[in-house]
Amino acid sequence: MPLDDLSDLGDEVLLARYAQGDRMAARALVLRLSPRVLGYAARLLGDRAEAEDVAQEAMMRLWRIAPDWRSGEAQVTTWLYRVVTNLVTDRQRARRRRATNGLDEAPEVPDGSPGVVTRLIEADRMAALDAALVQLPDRQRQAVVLRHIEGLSNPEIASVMEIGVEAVESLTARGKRALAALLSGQKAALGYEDEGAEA
Amino acid sequence: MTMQDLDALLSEARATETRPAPDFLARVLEDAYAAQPVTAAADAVTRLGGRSLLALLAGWVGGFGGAAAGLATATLAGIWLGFAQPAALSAPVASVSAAFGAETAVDDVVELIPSLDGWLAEG
Repeated sequence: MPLDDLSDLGDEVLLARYAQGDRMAARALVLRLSPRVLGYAARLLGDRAEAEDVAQEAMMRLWRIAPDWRSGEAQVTTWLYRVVTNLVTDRQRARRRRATNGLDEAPEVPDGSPGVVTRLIEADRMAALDAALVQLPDRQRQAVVLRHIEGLSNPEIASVMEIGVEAVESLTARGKRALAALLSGQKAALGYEDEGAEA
Repeated sequence: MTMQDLDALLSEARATETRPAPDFLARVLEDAYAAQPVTAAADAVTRLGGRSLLALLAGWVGGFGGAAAGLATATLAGIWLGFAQPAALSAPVASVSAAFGAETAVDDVVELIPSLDGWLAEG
């Protein structure tokens, strides 16, 4: 079956075919899922090379679980987002353990000082957003990225993050407020005109 | 920044497609093939006389994944060496050439398998 003919098949069907030895299904899954997995990991980590490592490891876990995948229990993408989230959390914990003594973790609520972002961002809007995202607390960043960039619903995010829907709503709202604060003063770089009042 | 501005920026980010590097995709696909189960249907294609050729190779090399990877690597290495002479091989080639005669240059061809005429002439 040509690769194009597989585009209409669902992730679970492709995964089942992969588990049956279908190499075209393997190619279709790589092309379909890898960009999303990599994009999510990159948003969380702010480092492309590290994100590739995480994405490759997440996909490897998918290949390994394919023969035992239980249809209907979870969406493949939701499962992958959860794996990436956990892998990234592990890396960030390890990164903090390696941090030199005396350096505190990022504050739960960013101070919103424009200078912090100014030093990190480029003129590019996406770079500005990414620079602000990496300054969010981990859970807020995960919730904001999953909701507003990956486009998941709150129940799906709750499943990914293994928390309740109310907690997701709280994290998302706090994350957006913090993002707006971090990006305040960056209107020129972002291409927005000064409207006088900020949210 | 207003929440409307932020929503617009996040929507822009959502519409921005992540484009993986080709070598990243190649690594992921290589993992997929290496981890892929071999079923009876897929294996049947390579069966030879009732015995799987792949299973036979796997026995030699130590597993289907290892066999496939080993064969692929050896094939690619052979093709590459056929197209380009790595600089690192120049010195060993030169030393072998020198061993066959002082007048032999690096670019000379060393005939390691003499023709039948040569053997007949020497009796």
